[in-house]
Amino acid sequence: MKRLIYNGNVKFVLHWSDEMKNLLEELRKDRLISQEELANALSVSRQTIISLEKGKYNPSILLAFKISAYFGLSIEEIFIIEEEDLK
Amino acid sequence: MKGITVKKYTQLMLVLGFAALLVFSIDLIHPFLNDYMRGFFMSFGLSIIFVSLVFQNNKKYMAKSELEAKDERMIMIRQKQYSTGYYFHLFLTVLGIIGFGFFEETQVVSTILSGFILIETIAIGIFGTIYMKKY
Repeated sequence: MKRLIYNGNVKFVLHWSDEMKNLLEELRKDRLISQEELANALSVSRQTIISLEKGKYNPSILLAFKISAYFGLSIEEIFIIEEEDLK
Repeated sequence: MKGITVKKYTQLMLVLGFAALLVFSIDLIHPFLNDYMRGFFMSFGLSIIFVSLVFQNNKKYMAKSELEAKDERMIMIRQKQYSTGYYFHLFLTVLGIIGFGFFEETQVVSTILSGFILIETIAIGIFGTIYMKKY
């Protein structure tokens, strides 16, 4: 478990897993958006949002850009990649 | 499948259903099919017409299906599902080729299955070459 900072001032607790980490669930809850609303905005199913939030599925570069545009943040601020993953 | 929407797919099913019923109708006037094929064309035609009409009139299902057809995770799952299914099919076919090859009476089945495997292997090779050039 690790505490991360995004947008300069908001802090979230991130649960590390074997997959690529992301702040999707924290961002969504912070902005009071339901999984259904986010799914509709991104033109994906709610199951895809659940999988993304759980870190079970890594999005394509196109979906990652859509997510970053939706939240108004950069991809790096939402999806976290570790050096180990790049090897 | 990219480019084909669920609506178009159900419309295609409807056309196929009517084509099957047309063959069945022609056979009623000028019989040319055996009992098995006559039954097949009638039941196949009626069932896919029924299924496609039910799907087309269920707006909630159509909207859900359209979304799932475009959802990248669902596309990935389908690809993995078909790929794994193909390996299972390959395993069963090879078992069949070996099993049926043991007996003289069933050797023809073994030969037919080998033919299918050969055709599939050639098709996979061709598609592999096409996709290697495309991507």
